[in-house]
Order: sequence, then structure tokens, then C-alpha cells
Amino acid sequence: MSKEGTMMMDSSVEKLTIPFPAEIMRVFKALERIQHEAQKPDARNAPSHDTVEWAMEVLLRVVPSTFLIGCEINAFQSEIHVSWENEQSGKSVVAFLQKRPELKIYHEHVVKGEVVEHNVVTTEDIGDLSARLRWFFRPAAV
Amino acid sequence: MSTSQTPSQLGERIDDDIELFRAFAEKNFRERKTPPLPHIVRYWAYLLREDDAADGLSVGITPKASVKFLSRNHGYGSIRVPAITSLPDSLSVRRDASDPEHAFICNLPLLTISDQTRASAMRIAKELARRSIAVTCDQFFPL
Repeated sequence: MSKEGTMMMDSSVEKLTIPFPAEIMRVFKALERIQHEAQKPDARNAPSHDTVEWAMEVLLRVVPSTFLIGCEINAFQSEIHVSWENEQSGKSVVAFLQKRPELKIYHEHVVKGEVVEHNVVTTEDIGDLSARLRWFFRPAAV
Repeated sequence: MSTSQTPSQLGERIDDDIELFRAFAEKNFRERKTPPLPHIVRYWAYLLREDDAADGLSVGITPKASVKFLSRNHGYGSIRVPAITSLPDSLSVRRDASDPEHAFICNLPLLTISDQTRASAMRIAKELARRSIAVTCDQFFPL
């Protein structure tokens, strides 16, 4: 096989094994921005380098990675908040990252303007975030 | 940087139906929408920071007062006092005894105490954000 052919195959395989690379790039860039902002002397929010790496690890292990589409990543004090909101379903999920190996997950469901369900769980199982996101993305029962 | 300049003294409680103004100290305190949709206030605008735990969340009786202690802002939002005090969480609004144009939303829980206070802090912050109006998402320069 020619060198050109090998490169093309590698590229195609990459597309198959890393779904939505643009989203993953966006996540990385958002975390880089947080780290950059945290180094400024008057930073209001300053998550540590370890926290940024921990957030990166957790988000890379979200399955399927399509769940990352639309998530918002922000710093709050020493924490990183990753949030998902859907105005139509009234559901929201926020993952709080601070200290490895801990992950806190908030979820909320608003129906007709009333909060009908909300809770925070602390876990060391990263899979719990994907499980909560399955709830978030699940269409409402008709 | 705290939104209040120095430790303040809590003054009298405000129970009147007046409008309060909350500065957007950070970009993510609000979200720009494409017209005709209104811009929205996000929950970060109402999360109590550790630095502010002694007095409460800083608000202005005027837009100018809301941004007074910020070196820069990303606009401001408004909320009426009953929209805060009608929540079943014993929140109150108190004047700043050292500044008649400044006030505090008191009794907001801190995220960091426990999972229970984190859940309450998030629920309250999200509810207050829904009850608020994003007046402007542009930097506000008081005259």
C-alpha cells in the first residue's frame, strides 16, 4: 500500500474511533481557557492544574461522547462545573469537579415552572455521569 | 475579588416590593440570546462565594450600586424582592448599613458545606436566575 493510502486509512480509522472530535476539541479548549484564566493575578476562579486534568479525564470517559455536545464548562472558585440544560424538557445536570477521584453530580427537573426533582450525589464512579446524562437525554414519556 | 469591598454591616430588612440589581461579574452569569428572545440570567449569578458568606450576595438598589465594587462587569440583571423572599428557604434582603444603595441577599447556602447545601444552593440559584431579567449583557459604565 502506498504511503498516501496508509495515511488516508489512518485518518478514516481516527474518524471512526474518535467520534465528534470537534466536541472533544471544544472541551479541551474550554479547560485550557480555565487554566489560563486561573493563572491571572486577579482571578476570581482558580481551579488547580490537577482539577483541570481531572475534569479532562472525566469528560473523556463520558459515553457516548456525543453527550458532550452542548455542555458548558465554567470555573467556580476552585471547582469546574460542567453543565447541561434543556429548556424544553426542563432537565438540567451539573457535574462538579474538584478533587480526584471524587465527582459530584446535581440534577434537576422542572415541570410547569416547579422543581419536581433535584439532588446531589457524590461518587467515585465516573460511569454515574454517563448514566445521569442518559436520563437527561431521554425523551419525555408521551 | 469579592463583590463587596470590605466586611459590611447588615442593616434593616427590605420587605418592600422593590427592584434589585445584580451585576454580572463574570460572562457566564448571563447568556446572550438572539432577538427577539430575551437574554437570560444563569445560576452562577446567584451562587454565594466563600468570600461573601459573612454578609450575603451583593445586590444594588440601583444599577450603579450593583457594579460599584467591580473593576469590570458584563452587564447586570434585575429581580424583585418578593421573588427572593417568597422562596421557602428563609432568604431575606438586608440593606448594607454602610451604603444606602447597596444590599445583600442573606441566608443563601454555600455549595461547599455538604451535598445537602450544594443541592439547595443549586436549586435556589437556578430558581432566582429564572425569576430574574437580564437587563443588559454589555458592560455597564455608570455615569
